[in-house]
Amino acid sequence: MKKYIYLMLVIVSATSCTEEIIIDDLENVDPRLVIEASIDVDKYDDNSYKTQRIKLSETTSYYSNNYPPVKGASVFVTDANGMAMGTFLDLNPAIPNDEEDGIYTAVDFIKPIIGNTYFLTVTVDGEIYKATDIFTSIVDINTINQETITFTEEIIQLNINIDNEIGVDNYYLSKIETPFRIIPEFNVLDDEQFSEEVGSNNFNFTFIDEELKKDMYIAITLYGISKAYQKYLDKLLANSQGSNGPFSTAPASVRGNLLNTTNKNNYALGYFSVNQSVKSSYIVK
Amino acid sequence: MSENVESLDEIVLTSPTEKISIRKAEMSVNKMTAQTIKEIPAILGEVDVLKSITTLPGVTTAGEGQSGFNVRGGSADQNLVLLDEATLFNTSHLFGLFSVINADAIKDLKLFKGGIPAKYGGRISSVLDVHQKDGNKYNFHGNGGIGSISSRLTLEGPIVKNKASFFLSGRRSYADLFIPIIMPDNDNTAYFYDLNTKVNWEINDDNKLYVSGYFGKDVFSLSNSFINTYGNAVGNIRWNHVFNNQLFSNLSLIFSKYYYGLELDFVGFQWNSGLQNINFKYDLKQYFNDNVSIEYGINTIVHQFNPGKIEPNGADSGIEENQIAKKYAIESGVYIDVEQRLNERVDLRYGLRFTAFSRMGEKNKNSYADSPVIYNEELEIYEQATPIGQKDFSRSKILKTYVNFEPRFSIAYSLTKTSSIKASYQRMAQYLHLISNTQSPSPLDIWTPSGEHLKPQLSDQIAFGYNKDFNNKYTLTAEIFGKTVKNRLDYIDGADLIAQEAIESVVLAGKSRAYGLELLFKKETGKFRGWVSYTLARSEQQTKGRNSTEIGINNSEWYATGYDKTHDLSLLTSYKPSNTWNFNSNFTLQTGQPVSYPTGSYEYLGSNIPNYGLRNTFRLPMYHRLDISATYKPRKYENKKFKGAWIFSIYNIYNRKNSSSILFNQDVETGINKTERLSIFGLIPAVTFNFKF
Repeated sequence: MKKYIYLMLVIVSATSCTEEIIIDDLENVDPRLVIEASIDVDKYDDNSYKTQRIKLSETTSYYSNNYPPVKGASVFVTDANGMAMGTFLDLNPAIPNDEEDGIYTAVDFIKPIIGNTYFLTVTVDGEIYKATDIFTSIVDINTINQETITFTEEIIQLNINIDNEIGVDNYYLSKIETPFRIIPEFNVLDDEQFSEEVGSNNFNFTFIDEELKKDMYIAITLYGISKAYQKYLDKLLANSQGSNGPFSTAPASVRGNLLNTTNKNNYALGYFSVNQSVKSSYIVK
Repeated sequence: MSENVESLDEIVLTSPTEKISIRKAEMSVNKMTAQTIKEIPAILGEVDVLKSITTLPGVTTAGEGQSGFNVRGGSADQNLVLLDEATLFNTSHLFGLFSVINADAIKDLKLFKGGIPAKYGGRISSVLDVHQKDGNKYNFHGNGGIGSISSRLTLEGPIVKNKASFFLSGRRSYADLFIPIIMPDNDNTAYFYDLNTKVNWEINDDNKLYVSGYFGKDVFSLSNSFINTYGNAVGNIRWNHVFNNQLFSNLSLIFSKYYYGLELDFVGFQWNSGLQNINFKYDLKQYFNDNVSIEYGINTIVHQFNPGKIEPNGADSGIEENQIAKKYAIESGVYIDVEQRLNERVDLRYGLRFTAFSRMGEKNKNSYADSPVIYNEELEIYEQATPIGQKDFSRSKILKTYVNFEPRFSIAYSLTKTSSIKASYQRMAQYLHLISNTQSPSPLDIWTPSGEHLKPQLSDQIAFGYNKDFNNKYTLTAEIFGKTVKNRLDYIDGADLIAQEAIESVVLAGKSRAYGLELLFKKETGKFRGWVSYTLARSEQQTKGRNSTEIGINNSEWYATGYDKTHDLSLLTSYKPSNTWNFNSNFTLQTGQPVSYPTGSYEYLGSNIPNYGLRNTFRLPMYHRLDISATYKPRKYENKKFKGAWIFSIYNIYNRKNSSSILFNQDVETGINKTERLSIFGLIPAVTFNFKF
């Protein structure tokens, strides 16, 4: 909804203009470790889950796109019994031509069990970072179709239809990859607005973009995520999508679920999550 | 009243009505007549009452294109805006580009920044008391104008000669009426209107009855798939009774309502929120002798808040209906206010207001194990607590009551006949909170009453002033002020305020403070008139952790409020070489708005994520612009009943691209981080034709 309200403001301000500028004093005043540990398990592909990647990097200054990799760390994902779920190595001998790039890869990851809790332990420069998450399931995509809506001009809207699971609180992450964007469009959703009654629990994820054209190939992934991860992503995506406009609260640094158990103040950014996903695709008509 | 009817006539140069008495214990007050307001050049020539007061010292706006105003480092919701005694909760049209008060409908306004008399209460920063015109009892008159944005028409006249009169003033924007002619396929629309009404009945010498009302609405619709409407409706019935030549009374029944609606067809929902209240008020004024007069009275307001209702807008919508529980409260006050001239040199005004606020029962009231905001000690972040249960309470049950004594005191000491020093102290309580995500009120803002979790805001202010009159030509007012506010709410990092069912779970109570120096130098007579106002000020807030383990908001450090303006300068000039021409200019310069910028960036999910630093540590670039206008009254109208005048104006004449905000995002095509400056108003010329008969 925030996005629509922002859009409305932009339309109203007909006399307004935006101009790209450079702000001089945006230095990286607070360099921090960033851990991106999304364990994604495809619901129907019995192979791909075995390879999992955990990325360690550092923050950089705002205009630099060069994120320094963090090498020499040790990375473990374990289950409730302390059993390692896979061997994460920056330089993994099982991968041909692997390089040290801060991407710690496991090729022997064990399939997690829905509803179970998993644990991440990362050691960097003698400091230990820990996090936990619950492996969360996802329902199937029923159908994908399109309609044309008039929103000052004709725009194509994609509807990704699912049946909201009844009796549980569901949290969703959708990823939409299009040929016209190099970064995918992410959205999160909390099912509390949607009905949980049998027969009316059906709803659409919608994707509207004026760039959508006939014959475009659109890749769609839906993830089942934990409530805490949904709340984290909601704030994170608001920051990344630049919607710190007139209707959102003042943007702030977003803390994930990573805890530095050695030195609390030297906290890391990022998140450890374990999610089930379903993939689909659509060709625009 | 007749001088207001003559708004297009010559300005009365010899008896300025905006002067604040040197001798009286009235300080931190500014008056403005409709005439002055109309002369200030405005955006698209659309005279704006609320923007005009930002030319006064101690009054700023957070940013361009934002409605509302900030007084002495206070937030915009801390201003009590009264239109014929009725509270206006939202003061903006078109999302803040214009304000709701039609200048044709008003007689004058008075802004209290400090030394606020005890008869006013409920807001802690200022009172803007706007009076509508009464209507001419003797003759029928009309006036109006055709402008770039809207047209106006005002009619007034006797119902019963010498006894009863009416006043009716309307304004409507009309872009939506012409667009279909130019672009027949277009099915978007946007318009606003205002209607001000007043009926005035002199029953006999001792009894008068006034009925006044205001109705305003904004409608914004895109292809019928996005429909947004909002507006105020207020009404007041006042009976003025004279007991004898020493005792006067006013009995009022006042109604205020604010409504906000949004329908998004493609999402399939409709949203409604708003609030309304009824205020019963009885005020008396008694003159004891030439030196002492007393005002006293009581009032009770019954508030009802609708935080929001979401509904499916059709049968095929998957949206579930949900009414966020309505909230109820009763706010009462009793006051006494004394004006006393002690001797030739000393004038006093002192009073006491006693207020009580009760939060009444509501449905689905959340209960929490501990506080509605929990602190995650490991991650050092605040999070919304999950309610452990919900309970229904009867509307007649009092859930929580707050009471406050609010003393007020002002003194003036005349140094000479033309100069004086003044001092004042005030304490004020505010029981309603506007937890705004923006720096100024937006139509979607939700007011929340104090209650179990949210305590009322309390402010204390002291001010000292010096007033000097130079040969009846120039006046100088210099004041310094300092104020503190307790229980100022601040939202936790990443709080989501839109459609928030448990607003108490995303805010923490802190405090704020402001101090500053204000200078106003004015020339009110002659062909060349105008004023310079300058303010040097600081406005900050702080929200500490609730105990020693908590980090607080912004690491418990003081930080600039979103409307802190170190320097604020306004220079207004008016030059009237003849009866035909009148030239006006307005120059504004102020420190840029405090904002939060990212101090770094990182990669997550393949996207660049800006990593923000502490709140409001950066500032937008300095804001300044110059506006000019010229009024031309053709000679041919001079001796006619119908009179007309052309107003030519240019807003922001040197086309300064002032930053309204800076947007940080990643280019979705190149993947590079970028910054974009949003500027709202460049150079805008406009022509308006005003007439009267």
